[in-house]
Amino acid sequence: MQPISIQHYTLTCAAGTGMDAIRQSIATGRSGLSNIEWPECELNTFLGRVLDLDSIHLDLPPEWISRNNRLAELGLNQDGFSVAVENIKAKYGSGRCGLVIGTSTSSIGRTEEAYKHLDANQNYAKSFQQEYIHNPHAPGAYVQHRLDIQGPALTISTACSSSAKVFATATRWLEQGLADAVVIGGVDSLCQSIMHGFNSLQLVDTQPCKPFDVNRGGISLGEAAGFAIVTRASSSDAIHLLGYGESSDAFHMSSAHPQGLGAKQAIDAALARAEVPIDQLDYVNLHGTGTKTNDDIEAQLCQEIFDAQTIYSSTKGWTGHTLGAAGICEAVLTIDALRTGIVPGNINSSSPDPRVAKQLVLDNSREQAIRYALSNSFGFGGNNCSLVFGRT
Amino acid sequence: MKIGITGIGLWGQGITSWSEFTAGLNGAFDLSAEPPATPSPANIPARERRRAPLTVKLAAEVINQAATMANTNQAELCSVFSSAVGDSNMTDYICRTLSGPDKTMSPTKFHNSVHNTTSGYWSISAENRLPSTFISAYDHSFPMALLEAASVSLTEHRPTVIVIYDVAFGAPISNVYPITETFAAAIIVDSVNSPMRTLDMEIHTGSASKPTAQNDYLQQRTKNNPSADTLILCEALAASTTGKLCWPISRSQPKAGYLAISIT
Repeated sequence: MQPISIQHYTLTCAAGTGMDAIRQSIATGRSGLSNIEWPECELNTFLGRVLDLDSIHLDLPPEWISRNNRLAELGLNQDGFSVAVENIKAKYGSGRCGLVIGTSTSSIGRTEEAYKHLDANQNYAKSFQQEYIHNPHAPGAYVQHRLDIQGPALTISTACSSSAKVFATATRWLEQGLADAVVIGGVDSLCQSIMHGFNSLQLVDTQPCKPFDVNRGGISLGEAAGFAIVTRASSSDAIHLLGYGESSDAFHMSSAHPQGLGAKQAIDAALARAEVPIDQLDYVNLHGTGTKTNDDIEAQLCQEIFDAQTIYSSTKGWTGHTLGAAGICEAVLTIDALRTGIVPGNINSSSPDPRVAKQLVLDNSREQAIRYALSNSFGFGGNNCSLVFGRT
Repeated sequence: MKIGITGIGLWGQGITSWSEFTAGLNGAFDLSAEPPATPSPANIPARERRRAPLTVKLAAEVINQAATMANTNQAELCSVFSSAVGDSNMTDYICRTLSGPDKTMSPTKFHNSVHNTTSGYWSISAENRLPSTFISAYDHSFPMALLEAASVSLTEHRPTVIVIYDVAFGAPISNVYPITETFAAAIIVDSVNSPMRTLDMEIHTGSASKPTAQNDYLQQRTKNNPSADTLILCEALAASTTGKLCWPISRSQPKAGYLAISIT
């Protein structure tokens, strides 16, 4: 495919609010995971919680209030992102700018809250009767409203691959001339349903997650808001999306295909589209959730398909598993690694699975030569998406 | 973007197939029709059929109809699933469980709570490993799903099925968006095989008012369920003449443009 230009990007997650804070956390080895308590949740677990959400004042109109939209707002206010969107709208016209947001939980946290305040007739209390909140499109609608984007807009919700797939949709829109610029992103926030839900599946670690460690015990849940602006490429750009691959496992709703067939298909499709030979791949940001089975399958895949000089890390030890925002979160960390040359380490793990041990960077690695990188996102429902980024 | 239509499946009140739909247009719809029964698609095994969420059964039923009409192998379809509010039965189960004293959740219900549950189950039953997505643009999901499916089909060079559904539900979910009858539809768009009709679609800036069905019975269906907006396109497809629809793509952003669809 024709390369897609990454014009601007930002990320807010437990490891930091905005890119400078995240780079600082990575440089000083500060993970965003903490065992801070969550209201009405007795689970013994570590969370990748964005603590700034509780201390920074964000002025949302009452009809748009939810934790997820507040997180989106906090994210949009970092790294001059909103200003960059204004500039891109001025350049192309707002009607030629599209919007694609990925989320898994949308604003379900607000709906959970609303159910605690039902009146005698089972109706929402007035403050919860919010027209644009209790539906899967809530974060897309909020960001579209907030940035005044007038082109096509939608929300993708395919569990943990949601905001990786935003790159695929945006690429198609640009290729087919439906837009000249697309604001893409992902927003997912902590809520009761994911904590009790993942706990019911016995997938939550009681310690900070340790992706690919032989003693790993599950995921640490997290939240994040990340955004980027993409356009058709021009010669002056530094970093491009070179390829994407999407696939389905067709195996099980919550267990990945045991041989990683769907995952492999997504990786192959992304590399083929990018026309990047596998031996040119310098870095892979693995999905690496920290669960026994997922990491086992991904480690096997790594051994089977990647060359010996490719280095890997899962960045979930820094951020937690941010679910619907995991795709954009890890895409931005990958893009930033291409830009800075610093690959964030696979922290918290000390005894890695022997199949990835040689290539897994446990501590941050400074690799001047990084040119091509892959980011993996695999979700419930067997929904997979891989992305290839490159630096010119 | 130019794309053909090769198959349609429908499941709504008084409209449980394309032939029933066209017969209704030619004669009269059955005004006394009951709300649609829960479909029992044969390709969901009996054991799973009992446990599967309603949305999964609806999706399987309408895809079966559309794939039969298009004479297409379901394993060869890319897919775009869509809904205005998602699976309200699941939302209600989760939020009710979490508002009570015992917050223990059923693990099966939890993994069925992702919006791509319909896509996941269908990909398993159809042994389909191709790209699949779930998108929503709230009550303007139909034109955006159509646009997304066309763009997937043109990129992947494969027929692509749009599957759109919303289920009837009462309070409190109906407080913000009342959906009083269940509806599901599947439309196969195809850039390769010969179509029954062809759509030429463009995004325009400026405003347009939402199209309405000409038939009163269909108009009522679209009032009762946002996914039933599909019937507006179906009505135009069933007509023997060429047609044009201008479809706003957002409600929350009134300055957003519209999708212009020319039907030949």
